[in-house]
Order: sequence, then structure tokens, then C-alpha cells
Amino acid sequence: MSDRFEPEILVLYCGRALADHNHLPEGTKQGAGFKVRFVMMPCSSKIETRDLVKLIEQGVEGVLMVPCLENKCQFLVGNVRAEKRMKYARALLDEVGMGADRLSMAQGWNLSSEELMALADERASAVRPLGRNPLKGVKL
Amino acid sequence: MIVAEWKPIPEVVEKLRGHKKVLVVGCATCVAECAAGGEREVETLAPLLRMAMIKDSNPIEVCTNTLERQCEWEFVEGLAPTIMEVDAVVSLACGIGVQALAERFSEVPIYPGVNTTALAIREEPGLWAARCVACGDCVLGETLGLCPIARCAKSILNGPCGGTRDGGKCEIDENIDCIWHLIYERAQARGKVDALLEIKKTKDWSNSDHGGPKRILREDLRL
Amino acid sequence: MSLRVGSRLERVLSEGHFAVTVEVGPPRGPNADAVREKAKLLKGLADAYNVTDNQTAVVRMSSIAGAKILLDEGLEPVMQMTCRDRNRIAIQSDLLGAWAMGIRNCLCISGDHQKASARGKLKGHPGSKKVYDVDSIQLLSIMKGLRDEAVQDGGDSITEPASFFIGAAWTPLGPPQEFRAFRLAKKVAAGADFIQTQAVYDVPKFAAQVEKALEMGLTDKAAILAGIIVPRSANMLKYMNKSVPGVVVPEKAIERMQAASDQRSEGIKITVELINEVRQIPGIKGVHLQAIEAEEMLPDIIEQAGLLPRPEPQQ
Repeated sequence: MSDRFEPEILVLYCGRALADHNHLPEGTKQGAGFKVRFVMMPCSSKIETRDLVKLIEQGVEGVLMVPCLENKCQFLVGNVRAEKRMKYARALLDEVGMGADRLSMAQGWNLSSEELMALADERASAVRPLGRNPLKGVKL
Repeated sequence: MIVAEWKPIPEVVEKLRGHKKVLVVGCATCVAECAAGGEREVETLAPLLRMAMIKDSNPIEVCTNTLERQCEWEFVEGLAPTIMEVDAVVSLACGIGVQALAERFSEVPIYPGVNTTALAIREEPGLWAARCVACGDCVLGETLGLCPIARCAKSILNGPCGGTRDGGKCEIDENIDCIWHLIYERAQARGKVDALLEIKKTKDWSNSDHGGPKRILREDLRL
Repeated sequence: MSLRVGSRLERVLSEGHFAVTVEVGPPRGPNADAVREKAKLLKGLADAYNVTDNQTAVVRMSSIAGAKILLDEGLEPVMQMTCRDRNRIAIQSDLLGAWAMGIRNCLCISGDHQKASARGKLKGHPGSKKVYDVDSIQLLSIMKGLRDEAVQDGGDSITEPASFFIGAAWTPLGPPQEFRAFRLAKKVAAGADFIQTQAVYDVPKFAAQVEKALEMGLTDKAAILAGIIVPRSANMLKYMNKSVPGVVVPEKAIERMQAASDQRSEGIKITVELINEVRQIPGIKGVHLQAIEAEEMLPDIIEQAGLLPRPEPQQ
């Protein structure tokens, strides 16, 4: 079964992190041994702690947040805020026994779609050892 | 505002074992301002509790609600329809809100999700600091608007004690200002150092928690 | 000057002798012999012996009990009393009890906050409830009331006065330094008869503060004993300079200690020199020596400072 386990990765990226603003990756794609969904954010600071926590609760195996570079934020400190929320959310997940590593972050700038996909691939490799999200498919 | 801080989640989880459906209730007043128990925090804690309970092999249903004020009966009443459908409540309000729920809905277990810790001000984003301890005998008029009861570790009325560190910080924590150092500086700036030379007599603490549970009766407001 | 209490310390001071007090830390246990051992070691070296009240907020034998044991050994105690752990009821009750047992000197201090108890290797009791019902200046007033008017803080009388020779602490080099002489004035006005200061290493800075007190007439009203903590190592000096509020150690002293081949005997030398220096400061009436957990160093120090034998006051 572990051979067929394909982690589901969610990539939340700041549109400014990509080079070609006219062709931003969207929707679900099939990667090599993982599924990935790309969601473009107007700014990474739009994501709050509760959103990060909820995404894991909803069953994705890994979340990757890709803000733009630290001094490139259109709102000056949006990506710094995002980083602090990410850190806090990771600590909370640790506290409830889910492990912090399902959430992570990698700054990006001038990325191509392929490079973003490569980041998702890295993320998938990192969460694969964590196994299936135990919340996956749980109805409450 | 009244400030509170989240309890460690495992402590809340411990209380929820054996329950099936739980309501997490926030309060949109003080605890929302101090980012402990407003809607944001309710919506953050709810998924965390669901996850924690599944990890704990005690899956529960968690629903949420945030009241305008958890310490007023009118608002508390709004929970009446929901509360019948759950078998426990986690309140993210201050101790007053928790008790208001427990009093109105005494048949349902109400668990605090936060520790109420101080009467404080938001000094900076993400930094709250005590300003009042409800001592019942306000001295701010004599201390140039800086409270030595809440802000001196020893609540000294004739300060500063010998523990003031370099830079005017408190002996117990180098991040805490020695309030008597600040009082002195303000007195000096206003030419009021003389006012600090008078010996302040022992304080009457009885109009506060120290005098037994506080009760205020105002006949003019009663029916 | 008529005596208020007639304790040995008061008599030594009133006769104009340069007084010596020494600190005796009670044991972290119920062992009376531990106190008696220290008493034997220190007997005859000082005019009075301070018994600390759970210093650094670490639980030790109570200062009342320690003081009583010293008294039974023929040493005159200065019972220290902090405001940290007792409300005004307990404070006054303990004072009456202490007086009943023959204790005549008491030093009023606010005390290290309970959070300080976990600062070192010990767990302490940082979770304890805070008391601080009265502050050290109010405590002085309370003692003065019990002595001069036989009245409690609340206004009720006591059957007869509990007459203590009242002591206070002074941190002359604590910030804000400009206010420290004024705060001393408050302590003297509240009832302090004698003052024991925070440890002195920087004599010129200390002397400047004492001069202010002298100009304010405080040195006539209360006898100031300069506090000296016996240094045992350069690290100890560095630690005190950095971490003990109000203690200023000149870099030179630290370097000197560092360079010494035998830091312990250098510590004795430094202490003797400090005693001789503070003795020259107008308004200083004695020294208060603290050799924390190293009381065995005191006989040599007091001897070498030429402070032996201690005077036998009249009356």
C-alpha cells in the first residue's frame, strides 16, 4: 500500500514569486508520485494561522507556502507575517500530535512553473515518510 | 482589557475525553483583542481539537460560536438553542465568561480553554503588559499615572526597592521596567520629585479580592 | 544620646566605636547545630550577627529561630525580616515573638522576589503566592509604632512596647542614583536607627552617595554600616557586577582578582582594604561583612583589618 501512497500537496504561492505573471499554475496536477494543487495568493499574508491548521484538518498531506522574497513584498511585510504565522501554526500542529512537518515554507522569486513544481516534488518527498494524513476522509 | 492565554491544548483534550459533541465558544470583546478567544482563535482551536481528539482515539464533533460578550446574560442567552445539542463546552472567554456560561447552562460541563492572566494594555503588536490589578484603592493620582501595584513585582508604595537593575529594569525580569524608576523620571520631568518624598502609609487592600469576593450594590440602578 | 533599646549594637554605635556586623546564613534544613557551629566560629568577631530571612527566596531555617539560637550561644543577632512572605498580621506577631525571646535588632527589607528562588541551581518556589502587603519603609514605620507608641499598624495598642533597634538596607548605587539618598531619608524618617548597605566595591562612587546623605543630615540620625561581600574569585565579582542590582565592581578589582595566584587570599586582602577605605568616609559608622557560604574567611579578615578585639560597651 505504501507504494501506491500518493501524498496530496497544496502549494499556496504568492503570484509575485513567479516570473511569468500571465501563466500562473492553477488547479490540481499529477506529479511523479504525488498530487499537487496550486493556489495563487495575492499576498502570502492573506493566509492566517486558522487556514493553515484547517488545511491539515481537511486531509492534505503537506502544505507548501511560497511567499515572495523578504524585501519584495508589495505590502512591505506581508511575507514576514506569513512566516511568523507559519511558525506558530507548525508549533500548534506539533502540540496536537500531528507533527509540524506537514506545513512548510520556501521563499521564491522569478520562479518558473517547473521550478514551482520541483518545490512541490521536494515537499512530497519530505511528507511521504509521515504517511497518510490521519484526518483524510474523516467525516465529523 | 482582560487578557487571557490559551491553555496547553493537551490540557483541554484531557477534559474532552468521553465527550461526543463539543461547542467551542469565543467572546468578541477583551479576549478577541488579545488574540486568545475571538472568532479567529475559536476557528483555529476547533480544527486543532478535532485533530487532537482523533490522534487521541476519541473523535469528537466540534462546532463553534463566538458571542459578542460572554459576560452579559443577553448575549449568553443566544447559546440556548445550540447548547442542548452538545455535551460539553470549551469557552475561550475570560473567567467571567466561563462562569456566565456555567451559571446559565449549569447542566452542561463548561471547560476553560484559556487562562485569564491580567488586566493589560497592548503595548505593541503581539505584546500585552499588565496595567491594573483591581486593587480597589487607586493610587495613580499620586504616582503620576504609573501603577506601582500592578507594575512593581513587589507592589511597593515607597519605591524603588534595591533591586532596580541598570537601565531601570526590574530585578525579576530584565524586560520589565522598574515602574518606580519610571515614576521617578516622570516626577523629575514634571518637577514633582518632592511628592515622592512623602511616606505612603500601609495600604487598605480590603476593597478588592483581599477583602473577600467583591460585591457592588447600587440601589439607584436596582429594580 | 539616650538609648532606644540598649542592644549591644546600639551601645557600640552610641559610644562611637566602629561597628562590625557579620552575616550568618541559616542552614537549608532544621539543623540547630549548623547554626551553633557558625556561632562558635564567629563569636567575638562582631558586635552583632545578621540572620538572613530566606535570602534569594530560598527556604531556610527561619531568621527568628536562627536568631534565637545565636542568642543562646551568646551572640547578639540582627534578625532580618522581609516583606515578601508575611502580611502585616504575621509580621507584627513575629516581631512580638522575637522580642519576647530576647531579639533586639531587626533589619527591615523588602526581600528578593520569589521568582529569584529558581535563578540558581535550586527549584525554589517561583509559583508561590505573593504577599508584599507592606513595603520595607512601611515595615520600619510599623516597628517604630510597636516601639515608641506600643501601637499596631491597625491602631490597636499592644500591652507593652516591643522595642527594637531598627535597621534598614540601602542600595546607594542602584538606579536611579539621584533618588537613592532621598529614599534613605524616607527610611530614616520612617524609623531606621541603623543602615546596612548593599555591597561596596567602588569606594569613590559609594563615598559620593554617602556624602549626599551626610549633607542631608542622615548620618547623624542613623548609623550607616558599609556592606562588603567577601569576594572569593574573579568569577564571583563578575557575576555580582553583572547580576546583582546595585553592586558595581570596578574592572580593576576583577582584573586584580583574575591575576592573583590564590584568589581566596586575594579576596581577604581586597576585603581588608575595602574596610580600611570605607572607614575613612565621613558618616560611615561600621561595616557589615558577608562571606556567603564562606564564613571561615571572616576571622582573618576582621583580625587583619585591626578590628579585634571588639569593644565591650558600657551599661
